Amino acid sequence: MQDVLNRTAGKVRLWPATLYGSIKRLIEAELIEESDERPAPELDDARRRYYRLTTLGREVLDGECERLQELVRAIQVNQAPSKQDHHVNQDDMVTE
Amino acid sequence: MNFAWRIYRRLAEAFPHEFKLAYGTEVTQLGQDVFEDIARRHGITGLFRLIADIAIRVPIEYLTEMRGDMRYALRALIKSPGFALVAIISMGLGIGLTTDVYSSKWAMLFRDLPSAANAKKLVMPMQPVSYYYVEQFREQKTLFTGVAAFQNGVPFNITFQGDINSRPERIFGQLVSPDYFSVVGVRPQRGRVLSAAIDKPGDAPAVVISDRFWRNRLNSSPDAVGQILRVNGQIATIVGITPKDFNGALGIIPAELFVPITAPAALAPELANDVLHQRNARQFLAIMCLAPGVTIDSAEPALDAITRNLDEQDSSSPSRSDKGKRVTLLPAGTRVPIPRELRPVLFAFFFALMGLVMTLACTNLANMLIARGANRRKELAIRLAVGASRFRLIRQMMAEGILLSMLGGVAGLALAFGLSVLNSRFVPPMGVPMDENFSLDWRAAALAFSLALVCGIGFSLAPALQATRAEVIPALKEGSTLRLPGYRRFGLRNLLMVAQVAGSLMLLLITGFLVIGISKSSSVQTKFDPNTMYLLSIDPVRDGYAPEKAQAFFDKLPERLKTAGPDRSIALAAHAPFTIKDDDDAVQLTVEESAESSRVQKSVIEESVGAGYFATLSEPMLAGREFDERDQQSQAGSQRDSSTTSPSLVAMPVVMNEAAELRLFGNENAVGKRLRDGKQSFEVVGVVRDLKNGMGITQSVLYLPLTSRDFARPSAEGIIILVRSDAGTDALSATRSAIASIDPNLTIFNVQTLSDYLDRSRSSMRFAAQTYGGIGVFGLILAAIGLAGVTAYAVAQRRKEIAIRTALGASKAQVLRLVLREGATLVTVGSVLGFLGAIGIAKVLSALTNLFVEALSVGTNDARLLIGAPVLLATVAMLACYIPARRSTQIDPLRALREE
Repeated sequence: MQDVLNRTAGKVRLWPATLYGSIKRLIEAELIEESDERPAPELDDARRRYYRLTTLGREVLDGECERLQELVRAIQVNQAPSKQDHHVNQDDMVTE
Repeated sequence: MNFAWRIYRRLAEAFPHEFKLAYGTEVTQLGQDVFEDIARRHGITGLFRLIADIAIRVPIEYLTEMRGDMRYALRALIKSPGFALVAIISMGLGIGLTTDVYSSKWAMLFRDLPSAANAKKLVMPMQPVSYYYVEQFREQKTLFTGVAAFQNGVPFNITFQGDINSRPERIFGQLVSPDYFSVVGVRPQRGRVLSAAIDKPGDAPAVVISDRFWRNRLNSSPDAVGQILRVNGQIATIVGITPKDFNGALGIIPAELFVPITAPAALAPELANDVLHQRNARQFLAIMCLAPGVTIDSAEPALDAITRNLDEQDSSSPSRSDKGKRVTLLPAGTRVPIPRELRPVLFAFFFALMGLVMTLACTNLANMLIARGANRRKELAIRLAVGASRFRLIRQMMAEGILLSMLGGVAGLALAFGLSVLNSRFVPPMGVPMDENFSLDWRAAALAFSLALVCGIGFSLAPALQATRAEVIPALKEGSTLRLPGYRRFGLRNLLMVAQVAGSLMLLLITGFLVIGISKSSSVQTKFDPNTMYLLSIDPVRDGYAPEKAQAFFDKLPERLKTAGPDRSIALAAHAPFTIKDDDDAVQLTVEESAESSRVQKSVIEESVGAGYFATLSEPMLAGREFDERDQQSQAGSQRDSSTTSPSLVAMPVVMNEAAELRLFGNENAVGKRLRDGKQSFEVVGVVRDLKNGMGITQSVLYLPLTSRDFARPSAEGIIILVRSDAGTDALSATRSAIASIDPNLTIFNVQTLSDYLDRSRSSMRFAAQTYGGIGVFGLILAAIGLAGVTAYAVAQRRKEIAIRTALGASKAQVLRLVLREGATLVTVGSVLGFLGAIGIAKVLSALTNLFVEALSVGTNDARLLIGAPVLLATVAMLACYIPARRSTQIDPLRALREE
């Protein structure tokens, strides 16, 4: 949670209940699973649970990554000729 | 901050059991970890978001789980289609009947008059009053903000201008005082409504039409307002159209036309003789809007005092010396005004009826679900053992119940829709069209579904609780030495079953009494084939005749009809023969020169008939003679009008039936004797046999000769011409041409044979019989379903016992007998109770209302019914037991015993 907060420069905070609701749904959809691998005992906390991507989850993630990249590429190609529009659209994307 | 944390903890504990098992600690732990940080960074807003996040998540988790439950329930139901189907049908019948009752009866009795802004404040005295009284009531500004007068169910003959060749159409409307619309609170959808400020006596006649009239007869023409109509032959202008659904106060008789009482008498014969200024012409209903702060309870005594005062001022008022209450106020804001004291009774009746039907349906489903739960105990035990919470399992079973009843709700809605279509096909027998047909509305649908939901939760809860009370360990063992509640002779379920069988037999018998009684007693015994008699109605006054001209017409008519064809008999009457008359319309008569006190009043029904009436009906006179043309003419000058105050000295000849003779004169011969009412003397000239009316009831009837008053002011049915001829001859067209030879423009309406008419007049009884019959069958089906459920349950309970018996050599027949015996005991006890109950209820009903006496007395003596109904019920019930019982014979003893 702290990690997500740091990575997004404080913009995205995962709230606890939403986080576990999402984890539950991801497990049900077989995108992630509980992992047996644990870090070295001195870094570990016995109460912690670890999750890892399943093969399916990895594929979905890759696919989604690719889809978003293509979307961004398509928008940039379309918007290149008109500078002004480009600006407006970039602003829009940020707010989204 | 502490407080916020406490809320968070509480909410975290409220997650569904399974979610808590998996993530409960983490959610709490993580919340604790980030709590300080969030409070520091975002302050109160942050804490609020943290709590909002979890507060939203909790119900979402429950919904997700419920969706799973529903999916699982659907699969489970698909796996046992028989159970699902029976449950849905049973639930559908219950919900359908309830919705139907709601949308037809309930709506009619309790819903506000549509489009009437003042509906909640409207009241009306039960008794009709004269217009003079209405004017006096209007002065009571502290009691009422407005008082209007109206007359209901008034027939009008309408011709459309510019369509000269068209035949007049006969429609029904109201005569209203111009302030009627402002009192009721109705605004026009087009044009204007009548108003006291604009519509004055002597103005060119202006009329308001209903939306229905506009749509059906003017094709929603945009130019309707301003159009000229001929009303009863006179010209009138349409000035406005009432809003959709508004059919006048007392909307049960829909009004298509509203004619102001300021119109000339030629437009409406009801207004003849200057009735507006006749103090005793009690022919108007008053409708008033209560002033703010005045209630119906406070207005009634005040109005009563005013009425008493007015009555006493008038020396000729017949009710001058009446004792007791003179005015009963009814709330008039519904389609049917119901006396206040009757409202809670009716309310309770409908509530009880609906409740009873729903309870029956739900009890049954509970029974079935318990039986099913018993069969599923192992499945439940496994789920409990692997960590499902009891609450979770109950929810699961409830989901099934809710799903079932929702499907039942859909089925019920379909049934209610079908019933409402049937309802609307029902043709009421009266001459005035009644608007009793209500289509289903969204309220009915909402009711069906909320009932379904309540029942779904209600009836699945008890079985779910019982089923999850399973002890895990024994249930899991193949040995299955689960302790189930043993067969209890007086267990709740058995009592319910007995009650159900008894109730359904009662329903079946009472319905049967009515149906058989109706079919026997209401077959009116005519001495000729009712198909050979035609009834035609004419109403010359409403075709624009002056009363004198109408009288002359009727003087001429019989002769003209006879010359048209000598081989037939013809008579006139004010009402069709065998008409069902309300006892409230009875008149009080005293016998003149009688030995006993002449002040004893006896009530009889009056009927006006023309010359040769009884001969036309092939009814010989038992004594004396019947009316001839002289009677009709000699009465032409005599006044029986309500406006006359001094009793006429000429005695009017009358004929009475045997029942009236017995009532008035005991065993003496009535012919030659004299009678009187408040205004008039009568001399009995003849006695006839009792003619049962269409309901099979014999009333005491006094037949009066038709007079000019009847011709000038016919009832809604007009003046009826009875024509009888031998089969094969075309009496109808000959009669038509005879009438046309006098006046080709006269409207002839309600042309039908006597047998058609009798059929229609019995239709309400038949309709009632069908409704009750439907309920009877419903009870039978429910009882069968219930018995099948209980038997199935018993078989499941005694599985092992049966296996042992089979292993020891019991034959299939012996096993079957064992199982069926229980069902048979319940059915027998229930049948005996039901039989006694039905006889008791029939007796009570006969004592309460004379309406069913004849029907019930015939029915209760019918051996076919008394034996047939219990046999039918027992057969159906035993069949219902047999189907699950047969299963018991298929129990494989090896398998059942290996479970040990």
